Amino acid sequence: MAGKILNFFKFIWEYFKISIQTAMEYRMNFFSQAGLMFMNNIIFLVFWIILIGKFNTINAWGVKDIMLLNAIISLSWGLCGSFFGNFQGIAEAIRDGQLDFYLALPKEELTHLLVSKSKFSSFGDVAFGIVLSAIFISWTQVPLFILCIICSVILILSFAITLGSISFYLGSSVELSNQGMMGMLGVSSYPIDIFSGYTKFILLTIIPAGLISGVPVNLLKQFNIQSFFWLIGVTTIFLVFSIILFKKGIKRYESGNLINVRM
Amino acid sequence: MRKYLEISKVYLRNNFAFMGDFVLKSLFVIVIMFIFANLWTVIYGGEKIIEGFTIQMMIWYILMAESIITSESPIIKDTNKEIQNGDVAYYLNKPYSYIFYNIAKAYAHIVLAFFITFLLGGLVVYSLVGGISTNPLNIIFIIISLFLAVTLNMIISLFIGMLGFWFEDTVSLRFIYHKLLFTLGGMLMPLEIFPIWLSKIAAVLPFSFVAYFPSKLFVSFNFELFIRTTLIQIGYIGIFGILLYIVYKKASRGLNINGG
Repeated sequence: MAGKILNFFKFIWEYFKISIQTAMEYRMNFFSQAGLMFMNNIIFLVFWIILIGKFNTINAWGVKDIMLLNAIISLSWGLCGSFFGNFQGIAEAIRDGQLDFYLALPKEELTHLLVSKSKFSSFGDVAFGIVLSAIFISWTQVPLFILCIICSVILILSFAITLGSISFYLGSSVELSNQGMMGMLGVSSYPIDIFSGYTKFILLTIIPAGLISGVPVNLLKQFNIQSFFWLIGVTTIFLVFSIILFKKGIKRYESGNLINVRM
Repeated sequence: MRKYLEISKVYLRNNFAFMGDFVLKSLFVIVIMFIFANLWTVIYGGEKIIEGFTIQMMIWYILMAESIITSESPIIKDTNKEIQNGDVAYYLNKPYSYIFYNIAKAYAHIVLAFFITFLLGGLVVYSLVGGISTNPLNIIFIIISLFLAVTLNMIISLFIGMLGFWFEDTVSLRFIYHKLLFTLGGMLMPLEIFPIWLSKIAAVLPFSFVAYFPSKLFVSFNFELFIRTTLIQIGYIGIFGILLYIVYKKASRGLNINGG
C-alpha cells in the first residue's frame, strides 16, 4: 500500500518535471503567462483593498482575512493547474474520445489524464499565493494552513472530476463543466460570511465553494474542531464520490475513431 | 454602409443558431450578480445610500457594467488568429474593408449577447434587490451612450488585435486591457467608491467611458452628464479610430497574396 502511494506521488512528480522542462523551453511565454496571472491577482487585491479601505470590514472580515482568502484561493487553484493542469479538460477529453490514449497505458487513467497537462499561468497563482502566505501566515499556523490547502486542492479536483464525468452520462458536459468551475472560482473568491441561510448551506455541502476558501480562513482565524472535521469529512466524501462517478462512467465510454496527436 | 449592415444581419442570423451557447455563457454573469448582491447587501447593512447609490442602484449599475463588458465579441482573439495564420491577407481583395467587416461582425455578436446577459441578469437582480425607476424618455439617451460605449470598446479591441502584426501574440495585451476595464473602468464598483485621487484619474481615462459612465447614466440619469459622456466617447472613438486606421494601413502595406 505504502509502495503504491509512493509510486503515485513519484508519477505526479515525474510529469511535473517534464512540465517544468517544457516551460523552460518556452520560457518567454511561461514567464509572461505566469507574470500576467500574478498581476491579475494583484488587481483583484486592489479591488478588495479599496473596498475594505472604504468600509473597514465586511461582515467581520478585515484586510488580513481577505489576504488569507486570496492566499488560499491562489495557492490551491495554482497547485491544481500546475500539477493537475488537465482538471478542467476532463469533459472535453471524454466527449472527443481522447481517453483511448490513457486507457491503453498501464498507469491509472484518471491520475494520468489529470497530470498530462500543466498550465503556465498557474505558476503565477502559486507564486502569488506563496508571497501572500509568507506575509500573512505565522509559523504556528503553517501546519493547519498546509492541511487546508490540501483539502482545497482535493475539493477543486473532485468538483472538476464530478462535472467532467457527467460527460459519460450526457454525452457532453463541456459547457456545464466550464461554467461550473468558473462559478466555483467566482464564489470561493469572496468571503463565505456574505452568504446566509440556504445559500450558505449549499456552499458548505453540495457546491463546496465555501469549504475551498471561507472555512479555511475562519479556521485560521479561530480554530473550531467541528468546522475542521466538517472540512475533512466533506472533502473525503467528495473525493470518493468523484472517483466512483468517473470509474463507473468509464464503463460507458465508447472510443471514437478520432485520431489524436499528443505533442 | 449597406453591405456592412448585410454582414451584421448574416452574422446575427448565424448567432441565433447558437442561442444556447449565448445563454450558457451568460450564466456566469448570473453567478457574479448573485455574489455581488450578497456582498453589497452586507456592506449596506442598515445604510440607505452610499456615495449617492442605493443598494438597488448599485446592483443594477454593476449588472449594466458587466453586461457591456462580458457581451463584447472575441474580436482581439479573432483578428490575432487571422493575423497569425495569414488569413487576413485573403480579406484584402474583397470588396469591403477588413476593419468595417470586423466591426459589423462584432455588432451582431454584441447585440445578442448584451440582450441575453442583461435580460437574464436583470431577472436575478430584480428578484434579489428589486427594480429601479427610470424615466422612459431617458431610455433613448441611455441607448445612445451604450452604443457609443460598445463601439469604443470594439475600436480599442480591434486596435489591440491589429498590434498582432508586430507582437506575435496579443493575448497578454488583451488581458491587461480587460483588467483595466474591470478596475479603472469601474466594472467591479463605481468610481465613487475609489479614493478621490484614483477616481479623478479613472474618470478621464477611456476605460471608464466603456463601463462606468454609461452604467451611471442608466441608474442615475443626468442630461449634462449624458452630453459630457457622449462627447468624450465620440472623441475617444475618433482618437482610437485614427490610430486603428494608421496601424492597419501600415500593416497591410506589408501584406502580399501569393497563389489562391
